[in-house]
Amino acid sequence: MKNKKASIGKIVSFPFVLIIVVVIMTAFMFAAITYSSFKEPSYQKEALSSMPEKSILLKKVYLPLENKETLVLDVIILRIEDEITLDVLSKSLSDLAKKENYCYFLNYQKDGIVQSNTLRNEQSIPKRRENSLFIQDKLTKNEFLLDDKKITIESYFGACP
Amino acid sequence: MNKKADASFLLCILVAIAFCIATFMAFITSNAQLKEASQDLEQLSIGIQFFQTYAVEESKIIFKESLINCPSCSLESLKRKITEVSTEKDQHLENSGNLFGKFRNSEFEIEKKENLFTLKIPSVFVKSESKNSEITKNFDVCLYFDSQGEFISEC
Repeated sequence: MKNKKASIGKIVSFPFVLIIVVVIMTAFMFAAITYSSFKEPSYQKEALSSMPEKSILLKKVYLPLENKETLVLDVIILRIEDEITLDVLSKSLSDLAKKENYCYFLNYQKDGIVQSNTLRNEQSIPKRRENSLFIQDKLTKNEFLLDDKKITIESYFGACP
Repeated sequence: MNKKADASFLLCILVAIAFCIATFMAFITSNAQLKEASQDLEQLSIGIQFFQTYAVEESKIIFKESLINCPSCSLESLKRKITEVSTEKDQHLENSGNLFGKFRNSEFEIEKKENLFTLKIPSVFVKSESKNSEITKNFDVCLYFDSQGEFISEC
């Protein structure tokens, strides 16, 4: 008799459970659809910063003393290897920014934080990228290996804030 | 004994809720993993484009500087000058591939037709690495310059 009661209970509850499951699943489906439609689309990186030919590192500059055309990347490496001073690098970049009427932000590191420098040509760009919402998402990060040491360069070259 | 039925009823609801949560978690996690994988690929693709452009831009600078320093040289002397200038410019970046090796070993050609110079460097490779992936790209560099060493166009 007891077993009968239990099985009746089971039978009675089964369609009810099914209905509840369907209700939960429907609610979940609506929740998922609502989440997808209200979720803000992820920010698309500005094409300018990801196109190599637009990268500041591949722009040509003149080394002030030698008056030789060089790529910005090479000038940074010369600075990292202490072959030129920070002023020379800074001047080369400022001349380029002035010529193209752009702002730049550059942060380079050799082997983590052993050697790190931030350069910018506008006071409106903060010294630390964390403080600048304007360039935070527009930074391009490049990594290079130089004599087994990792060089990380974060750069921005574009419109001024 | 109704308790037994209640227990199975509750169990079913719990299982359904657990399934919902699991599906929702899978939905969110797979989205994040996909984003990470696509960022990795994007990084590789940007890297390879970057080093290809680097190789082309370096070739332009090297040729122009060589021609400026050796305006009336024969093609053979110009070739030697290019090798000399490229050795000075070589920063030994590991990702830059074999471009400077090509210059160093004179594995390139220069042609002159009237006032038009052609610089051809065959089978240049560059590579890009990102976490566990690596891409190597092979291409030929072929550039036209005027008599002043100014770049005109790619071949």
